[in-house]
Amino acid sequence: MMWRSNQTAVPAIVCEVNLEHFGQGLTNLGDYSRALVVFRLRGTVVGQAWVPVRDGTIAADILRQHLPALAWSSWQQIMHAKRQPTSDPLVASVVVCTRDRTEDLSRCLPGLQRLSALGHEVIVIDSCPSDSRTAELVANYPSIRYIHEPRPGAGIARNRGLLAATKEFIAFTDDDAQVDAEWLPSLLRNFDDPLVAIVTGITMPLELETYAQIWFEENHGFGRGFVRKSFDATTIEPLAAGLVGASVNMAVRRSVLQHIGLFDEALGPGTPAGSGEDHEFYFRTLTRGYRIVYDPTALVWHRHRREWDALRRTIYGYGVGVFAWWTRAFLAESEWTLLKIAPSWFWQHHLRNLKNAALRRPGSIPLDLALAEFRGALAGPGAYLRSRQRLRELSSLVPIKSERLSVRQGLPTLAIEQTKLSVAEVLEVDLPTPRVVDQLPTSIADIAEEQ
Amino acid sequence: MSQTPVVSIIIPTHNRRQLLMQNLSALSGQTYAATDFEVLVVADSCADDTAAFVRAYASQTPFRLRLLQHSAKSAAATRNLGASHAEGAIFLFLDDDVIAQPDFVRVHVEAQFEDSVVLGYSKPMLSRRPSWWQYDARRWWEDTFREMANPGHRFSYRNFFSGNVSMAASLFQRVNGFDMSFTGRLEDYELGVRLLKAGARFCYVPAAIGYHYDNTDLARWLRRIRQEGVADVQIGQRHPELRALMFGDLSEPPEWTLATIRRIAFAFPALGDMLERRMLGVATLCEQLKLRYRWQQILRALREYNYWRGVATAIGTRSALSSWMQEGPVPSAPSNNVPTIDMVRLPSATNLQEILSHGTNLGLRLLLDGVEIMTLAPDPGAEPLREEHLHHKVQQLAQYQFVPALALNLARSMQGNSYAD
Repeated sequence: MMWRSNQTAVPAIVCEVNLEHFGQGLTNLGDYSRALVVFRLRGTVVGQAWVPVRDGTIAADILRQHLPALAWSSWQQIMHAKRQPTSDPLVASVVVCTRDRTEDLSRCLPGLQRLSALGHEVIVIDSCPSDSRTAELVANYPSIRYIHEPRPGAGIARNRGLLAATKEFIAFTDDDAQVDAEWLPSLLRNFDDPLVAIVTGITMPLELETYAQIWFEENHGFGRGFVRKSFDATTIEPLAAGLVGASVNMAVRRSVLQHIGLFDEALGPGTPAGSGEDHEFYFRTLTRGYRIVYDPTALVWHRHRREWDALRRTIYGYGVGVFAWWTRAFLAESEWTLLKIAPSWFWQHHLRNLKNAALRRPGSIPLDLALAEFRGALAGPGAYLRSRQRLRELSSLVPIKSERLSVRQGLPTLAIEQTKLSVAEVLEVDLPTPRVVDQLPTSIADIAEEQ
Repeated sequence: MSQTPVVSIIIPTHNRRQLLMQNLSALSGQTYAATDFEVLVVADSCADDTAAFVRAYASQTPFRLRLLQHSAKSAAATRNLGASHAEGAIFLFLDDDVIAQPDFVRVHVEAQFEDSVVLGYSKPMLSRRPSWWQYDARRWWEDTFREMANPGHRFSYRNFFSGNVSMAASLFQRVNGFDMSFTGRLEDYELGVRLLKAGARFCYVPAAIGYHYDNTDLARWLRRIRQEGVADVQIGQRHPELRALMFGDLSEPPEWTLATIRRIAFAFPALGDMLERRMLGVATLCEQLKLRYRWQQILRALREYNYWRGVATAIGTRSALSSWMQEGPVPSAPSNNVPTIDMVRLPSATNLQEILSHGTNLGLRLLLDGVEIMTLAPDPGAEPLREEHLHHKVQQLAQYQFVPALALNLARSMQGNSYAD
């Protein structure tokens, strides 16, 4: 435990301040010696600050010192709220994928039940559960649909959700997250631009009780800032799609799936690839000419892993995931630039982190985490190919295709489109065939193509 | 079929039989009464069996379908030919590759008012495997339409797209229709200039949806850009006041790469064309290797080259362009002549109208208690300045600059609601 000796693992309290009335400051903060203060303006988050706590209180003056830093994001959000056209509120499907985390899910569901009371559809995908506890929990919520998915893998579970959903907009959150009251409408209002295929939101920590949680929030986190951003393939390199958000907090426009395809089922937690199903999906969205908007007014609270071992596994999974989905992008999408990008990222990020951690340079990350990420990155490409192999075995066990292609009420028929895989053909790798939702007048599209 | 139709839909077409038939069948399923509109298909130099198919189809359509043919190889002449035979009180110009949605005709008719030009939403549709250029083009179209949908958008002749637009027949005839001397491109922009001069009010109606199955690609687009260079000179010849707007201040050198490209376009066309072909090949290679940034750079260069090559073809040398620019009206008047509005001392409603009408041609400065916060350059190609245009501009600016927006809010609160709405 050498690597942890010089770290200050002081628990912090997460508390909120409304800019409209923070009058006397914060009180009753218990024994905590510092706090992560989340500032809200008109209900939406506009910034955060790490603030020391004295005798269980934070004085208003200390909070006030942080105000200038909030000016820009506050302003941007006011301007953005002003620009929004007043149209009928959209209804959406909300999909939560869960696997053996019933206790977390029990904290997640009440917030979603409130959404279903507003007319939204809520679906829980129970991914390869080892017992029936989740099914029993969801049974307590008659308005929430429960779907059992026997095959493990986040990509599989999310696709199951996409196909089960009946609304045009499909929002995703995770079982270890809790959604804020304005979360869904904030995501949905960004779809007024027909090119916006995906909207992601901001994710803040639910609690910072252990060193693992604090380390994750300070070093990794899900924070993408407090200003709305719009991404497309001309403003961001699609291979850096991780910058636009994560699947814990996002919404997808259903009609674009016919151009983008579904999630790659060989990626994500629950597969050998560990993670990356969301980032690979963003990558395809961007390369297909669509936009992804990051809107920080859509807030989700996430409970980071409490145990250090779980954090290390997560970090390992991130390392695997990046190189796994890059492998897919190289094989299936002929992204030749990866021959340059992947080694240089490995060199500049992973190797350097590892070196700094080994030398205990100031600001370096703990050695075991650096090592985990490094090992993950090395394992990535192989893990992806293994994951595809496993997926083939799974699909031979479960007759998924006939089940997947069933037509749901009021929804277009699903068809499979074979993508031409140039590199893959050469290497004789079996690569994902994105399922494609066929609904637009393709006959005309074909005609236009012929001419 | 004896009664006079309300709307005449004019569809120019050139060797696109299959798409045209889709287009006509979409018009058969309109929510607007089929007896109240007629369709004129104007076939220009068609070498396929368009004519035979349209004639055969005419007996099946619920609306009156007429076929006109000529060999002019000109979109302007083709649309004018259709208009000269049209009998409706409203002309609706529709491109053969724009597939009308069921409410299309009804929305166009209901949006009409006096001297209105109703611009519809041609939603760009992609083919199965679009190229990068097609993705870019879709983004451009969608963004352009979204900007036009903004209540404070100031329309200019560059918003006049002839693929999905309707206006009163009398208005079209009053401005003498399309200019037949435009054989290449931009005959629609030129008509837009004359319509705005004639006092037409442009309005964008997003509900008039046609799916636009455009099959343009990079090489063809570059040829069009070259034709646009030629056409911009033509527009400048007919409307000298637009020269400065289109060709900018030539004395001010742009960045050196663009300046070099422009020089090559004027002085070394043979070298330029050779380089252009090479660069087009490199662009294709970049797309295959997924080198996005490099591809964008090359595209910018190719666009610049082809545009100025077109200009050079139309006007000759750089010095000829400069002297031609001198003949036009001097671009901008000295700054003390420009009308100003001080937000802290807002003018009365009638004064505001007068200032705005001057600002239409001279530009406008917005002040906050004597401090300038925004300048609107004169835009002779746009519609007369109205109050909502200012709101829109300030709001756009405000996104990235605090002060003007605070000023606007301050002024509004100080003056009550006299300025807002």
